[in-house]
Amino acid sequence: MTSFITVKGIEKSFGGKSVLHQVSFTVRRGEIVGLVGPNGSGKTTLIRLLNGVIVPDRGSIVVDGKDPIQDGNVIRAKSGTLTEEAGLYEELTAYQNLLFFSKLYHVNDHERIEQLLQQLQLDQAQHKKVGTFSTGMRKRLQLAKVLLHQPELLFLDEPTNGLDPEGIHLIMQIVKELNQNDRTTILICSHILSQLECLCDRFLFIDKGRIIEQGTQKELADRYLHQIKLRVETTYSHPENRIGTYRYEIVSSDELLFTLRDKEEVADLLSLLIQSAEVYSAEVLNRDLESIYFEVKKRYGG
Amino acid sequence: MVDKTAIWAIAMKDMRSVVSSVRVWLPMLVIPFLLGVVAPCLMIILVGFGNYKEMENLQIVMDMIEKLKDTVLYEDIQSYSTLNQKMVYVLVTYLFTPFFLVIPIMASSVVAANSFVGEKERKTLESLLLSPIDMLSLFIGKVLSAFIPAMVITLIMFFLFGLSVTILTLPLFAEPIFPTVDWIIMISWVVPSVCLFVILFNVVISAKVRGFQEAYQLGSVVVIPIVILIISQLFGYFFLNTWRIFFMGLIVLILNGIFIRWISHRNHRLKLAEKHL
Repeated sequence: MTSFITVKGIEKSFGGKSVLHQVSFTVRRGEIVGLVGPNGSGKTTLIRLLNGVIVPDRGSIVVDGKDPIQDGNVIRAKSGTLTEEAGLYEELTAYQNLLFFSKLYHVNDHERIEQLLQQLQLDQAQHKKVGTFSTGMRKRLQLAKVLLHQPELLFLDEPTNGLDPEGIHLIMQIVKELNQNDRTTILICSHILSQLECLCDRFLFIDKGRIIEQGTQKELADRYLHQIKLRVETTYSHPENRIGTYRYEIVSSDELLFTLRDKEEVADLLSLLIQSAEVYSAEVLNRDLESIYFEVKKRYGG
Repeated sequence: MVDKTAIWAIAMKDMRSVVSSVRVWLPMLVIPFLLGVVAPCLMIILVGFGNYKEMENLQIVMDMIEKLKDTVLYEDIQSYSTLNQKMVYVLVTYLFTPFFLVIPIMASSVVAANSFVGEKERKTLESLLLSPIDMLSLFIGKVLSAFIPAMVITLIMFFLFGLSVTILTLPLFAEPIFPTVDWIIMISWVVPSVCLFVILFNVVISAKVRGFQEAYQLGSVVVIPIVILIISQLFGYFFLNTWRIFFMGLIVLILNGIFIRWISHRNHRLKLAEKHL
């Protein structure tokens, strides 16, 4: 499959300070890619470069066959970017804000505006000035603004910052549906790795302006997690804290923690346990994205 | 090719912002009203109905009229018999004209100086830069959002000025002395050009500086030539006659053309982003 976004050897510095160094990656059409990294690692700069708002010092970027500097407006017309700043006009109402941006994107469709306001649960507040909105309402309105022109490509920079659990669920649901129903390609940055875990197809780990690792969660887990920590809720107990050759630590009266070498040992251990006692649940603790992230950071001296 | 929909959207959005803030629109109306209506009326009343025989500095007034000797205005002045008539005629047809160059500047400078730097301060500039509009359209939208209110206010003040002047001068002259050809050229030809020039200047400044105060102060520099013109008029060093008014408008129009060409040949999106984001 050909790439929708191709970034090769990008270098960018501001006032002599390097912000991005030799950044290369690709994103396929219809993929959701998580851009993971600490504050100041260059995520926002990368999104601005992909939109052709700033120019790289070196390297090349191609988005859907176009150069963001030469054909910036073509790319911007088919992409939507949710930035960390709300970018909304406080003295205008929610509806007036969407109407203004719909004209910039040549949508000018009142039905589309109303549909988005309803979808993002802002229809009751559509005639209130944005200055009176809560952080969560602003974020939802910002997403409505970004989706006005039904973009093929979405750049989401911290889309759930400042949202309550319902707001987070709503936004993640919309993002998922956009990808599933419209095959929208999505590049998403977030510090809440558990949210990205169940959303993204692949991850790019960025640190100090460099892509330090990339791949699917499985690929990354296989590369970085050489031990499996398995917590088992069971009635099993043994005076030497072991079953067969597997040793464990006691977490609580009915929870045991095993450290295993690989996935094959999980099945073997569980079959042993089931033969000897009741097993209620088993959970792998360290194959989540957060564990992978810290392992990657450890290797690259973060 | 410019994007007309985007231009009007930007202009309307900015004008709506002006209307929604009393602190912005009230000075835009009050200062032009004081300068274009109240001050001229007071001066006409003072000069037209005062008793000059009792005033000591009559010689200054006479000197000024003398300096107008080789002009068409001088012949017109001589056709009036009383000093009150002569003085009011000079004020209405000659001295008040540059006031109407100051009014559009007063009415547009806050909006124009706020154009780009205001977007930056409200953290909305990135939304504009990330949208698919060309920067020339964005500039034109910003210019229109200052130009339209400024010209509307100037024309309203001109109408009120004309009405008040006619009412106040009719008892003195028995016929309307306003508007003259110079006034018509000034309002229809020079004022729009000067207004556009001042706005272009302020908008470019606003795109280059980091804060509103800086933009407003730097943008105010453009008032200096107008102030010099008023002082020169007042002391008789430079006379605005019909041809001079026409050429002044032409020169400013050419400067506007150069300015717009210069703006359209620069990639402002990259410059704005690197400067303000």
